[in-house]
Parts: sequence; structure tokens; C-alpha cells
Amino acid sequence: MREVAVIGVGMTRFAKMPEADVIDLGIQACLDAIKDAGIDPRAIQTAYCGHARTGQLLGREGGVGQTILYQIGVSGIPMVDVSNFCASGSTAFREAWLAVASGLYDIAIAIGVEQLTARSGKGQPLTSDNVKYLTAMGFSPPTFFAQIARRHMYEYGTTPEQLAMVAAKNRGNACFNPRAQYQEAVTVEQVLASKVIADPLHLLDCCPTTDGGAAAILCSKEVAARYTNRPVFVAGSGLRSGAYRQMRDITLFPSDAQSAKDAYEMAGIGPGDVDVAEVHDCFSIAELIHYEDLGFCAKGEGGRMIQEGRTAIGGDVAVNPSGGLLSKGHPLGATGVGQIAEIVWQLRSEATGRQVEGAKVGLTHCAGGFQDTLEMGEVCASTVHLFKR
Amino acid sequence: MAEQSKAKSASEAATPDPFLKDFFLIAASPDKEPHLIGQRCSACGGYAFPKRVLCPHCLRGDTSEPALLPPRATLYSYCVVYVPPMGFSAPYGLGTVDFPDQGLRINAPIRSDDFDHLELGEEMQLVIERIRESSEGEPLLGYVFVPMREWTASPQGGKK
Repeated sequence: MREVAVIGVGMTRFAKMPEADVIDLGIQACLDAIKDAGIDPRAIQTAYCGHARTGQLLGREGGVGQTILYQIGVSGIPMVDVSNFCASGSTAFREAWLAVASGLYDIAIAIGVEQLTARSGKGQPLTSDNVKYLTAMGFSPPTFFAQIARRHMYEYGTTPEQLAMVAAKNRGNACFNPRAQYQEAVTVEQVLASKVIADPLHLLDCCPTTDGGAAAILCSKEVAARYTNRPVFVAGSGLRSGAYRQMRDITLFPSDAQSAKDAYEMAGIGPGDVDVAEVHDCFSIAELIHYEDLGFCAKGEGGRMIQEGRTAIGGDVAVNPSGGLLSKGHPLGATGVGQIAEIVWQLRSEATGRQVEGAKVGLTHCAGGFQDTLEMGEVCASTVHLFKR
Repeated sequence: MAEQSKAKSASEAATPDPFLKDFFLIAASPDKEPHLIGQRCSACGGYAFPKRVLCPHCLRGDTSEPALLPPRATLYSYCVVYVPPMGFSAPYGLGTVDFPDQGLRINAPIRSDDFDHLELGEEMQLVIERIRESSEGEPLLGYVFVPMREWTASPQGGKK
């Protein structure tokens, strides 16, 4: 496998944009990434586009990547749309990485787009794809993470205040991210006073409905030298499907732990080496679980880790300096590529106002989806990527 | 109480939820108990719920037999939903219950008059009752778990 570098990233602001066209969001992100990389769009040799819910919500089941790239003069190359639940964008990135790492192509683009404000049922949680039995019981993603929160509290003494600290930290970071959906600080008290969605989770423990697009240009190390003197290298990549086991412990995600292990081993990097991480904080409790599954702290210590400020900018490992899904927003297919854009900016020391000083190693983690069963669930897809400058 | 009896008479007229109907057995008579319908593998003895194409333990495909699960389970976790999807009335409980003897941990609606005092590890009783309304407003029956102490206090209310 060859060394692969990210030489350009782009991202729209993440926000509610019901009037926008999902294709335009993708075009804007791609043009930003192409400009950032300083390449001619016709130099791109292969493309992957992640989107999760454009079929049901927008009537665009396929061809999203093609339609975006057609408008910016990229055609006649291998192009594949990628759908892998909330990990669609990060999976598109992994496929682009594989295409270059394998030696088959020198330059690839990974795109992620989504427009969720198009859905009906304003004010209600987005129902999950592919879960007809659970939906019949009144399931929505918050109900799953609320149960995780209650069990984590029961087993490890995690508190509602510690959950709220995640939301407050990430909102504080988002105040310095001009592309974040919400840029006004909230306090722990405000999180706890917000409406209860699925007890013990409050509104501000839950990620919002978001639209947006993001893109990244990848190329081989040799080609990267032609375009930039500040490449960010992909050090490791992991992708796992849900690891279903009966009587599974709900307070951990085996697929996340395994995809993290894959990426760490490939990179020869350990959790203690990571300076900055963008993790899938779809709900506040999820971020605490990810600290544990990604090896940032011991099992059950997630609540203590946030309380001690060890994941704030300036702490042991800065988690979600962008604001995370909770405050930057969660346009499903775009989320994974947006995380990668943030890590690239961090490793280039371009994240003004929220910069993790001296960051050399970054991690992204993006996961989601629910299996269509009544057995204890697990996320359907988990991706972890490691980056170094 | 008026609310309860109204709910009860509604459930008597209700039909099983089309998505869930294959997974539970309504009690044949008032002195019988309802059951969830899982499967047991005659080769390895492993259980599954809901049924699977292959036994999830040994991956054999022709050895699975329907198996009635006991009507009691223990509460593993739950949440109380305050922002309901279409067809549901908030607040309602959704949780996970354990069948330790069968090695199963499954999702289930949870009913309680007192969610504040519901404790993980509590013994729960299976009841079959209205869980939601169809898009035409028809009540639909599903399986629900009720804390044993509430069901014992009012078993008639549980054996609908």
C-alpha cells in the first residue's frame, strides 16, 4: 500500500438550508476542496460520494456524485456513490483512500452531502432507515442512546451533568467555528433545563437536523509533493460492520473498538498519541462511550474524563474542537468528510480560535445505522481514520 | 381508572401490529399467559429472538424450532419518550429486557405508572396490549413489559 495524503478539503457551512439544492451543497464543497488543493478538476481520476438519505427524502437514490461533478467539469472517470448509514461520507473517504493506496489511481475526491431539512415531521426525531420492527415500537435514535445513557449511569455512576458537559464543551468550541450550525455558548444548566426528548436525554443532548456538504482531495505522496508543502497523511483506516452478539453490553460498541484497533495498528499509533479527535457525538452519551471505545480512557471513565476537562482544547486529547455533531451539525453523509476537513485544518494549524496547539496526530470516528431486529442492537457501520502531518 | 378501562376495551377490539404479530402469542384464555415466540436450535440448544434464517450460534439452517419464551424477564435499560413519533402518545416507555436462561436481550415497550421508581434489574411481566395506532387510527396490539410489582397489584389490568 502506498502512502496517501490529503491535499485539499472543503466544506459548506453546516446549517438548516431547506431552500438549497443538495447538488449545490456538493458543488460548493468540491470547489472549495479543489481550490484548497490547487489542482485542475480534470486531474481527478476517481470519485466517491457518500449520502445516506437522499433517496427517501429527496428522491435522489443514486447519481448524486455524478451530478455534482458534472457541473464542475469532472467526467469520464470511475465514480461511485456510497451509502453506509451515518458513516456514508467517511466510507466514501476510505474507498478513495483505498483507490490511491492500492496504486490504481493517483488523485481521488471523496464527497459527502446531505439535506435533512427536506423531511416532514418537523420537531420529531428523524426515524432510522431499515428498522421496521423497532419503528413499530416507537423507536427513534434518541431512544437507543437514552437507554445507553441510563445503563452507563447505572454501571459507572455517570451523571446527567456529565452528559450536559459534553454538549456545553462542544458548543463552546463551535463558537469559534464559522461553519458550525450553532455558535452561541450554552451552559450545563441550560442543557439540563432543555426539553426532555427521551429521558434521560434532553434536547441539547441530541444533534440537530442539518444540511451540508464536504469534500476532500487525496493523492499519492509523490503527487502530493507537486501541489503542496503541507500534506496531511492518512496514517490508518478502519471500517467494520456491526458486530452483533446476543446479551451484548449496551455501554460499548464492538464495531467502534475494532475499527479503531484496525486503524491504530495500521498507523503504528496508540490512543495516547492522538492530539485531536473528531468523534461521532450524535448524542452527548455517545461521546463518552467513544472516549472509552477509542482508548482515550478506561471503560467506565468517560464521565470522569469530561468532568476533569481532559477532552477540552488544551486537555489530554481535544475532542470535537469543531463543535462536533451536537453543535457543528450532523448532515449524515457529509458528517464524516466534514470531520476530516476539521482534522486537516487542525494539523495545518489553520483552525483559528479553536486550534489545538502543536497538533501532530488526529483521529476521526464516524458511525451509525441500526440493524432490523428486535435483539439488542449495535451500530451498523463504524469508521476510524488516523491522520498525521 | 376510567382511562384504564377505556384503554382495555379498546385493546380487546384491537388487532396485532402487522410488523410484530409473528413474535408474540396472545393468552388463549384468562388463566393462561402470553408468550414471545423465539426459536431454539435442536442441534446446539441456542435461542434466538426474533427468528433468524440460520441459528445465530451454530449457523445451521434446518434445526430451528419455534420456542415460547417465559412471560417474565428482567429490565436491562429503558427510556421514557416525550417527543412521540406518529401514532404514539407520550410519555411512553421503550426498553430492553433480559431472558438470562435463554441468553437473550431484546427491545420491548415498557409500561409503568411510576417510571421514576423503575429500577434496572427489576422483574418484568409480559402483557399483550395496545402499543400504537395505525395511520387509520386503529389500535394495534404489541408485546409490552410491565414491572411485576405493578402487574401483581392489578393482574387483571395486565392480562388483557
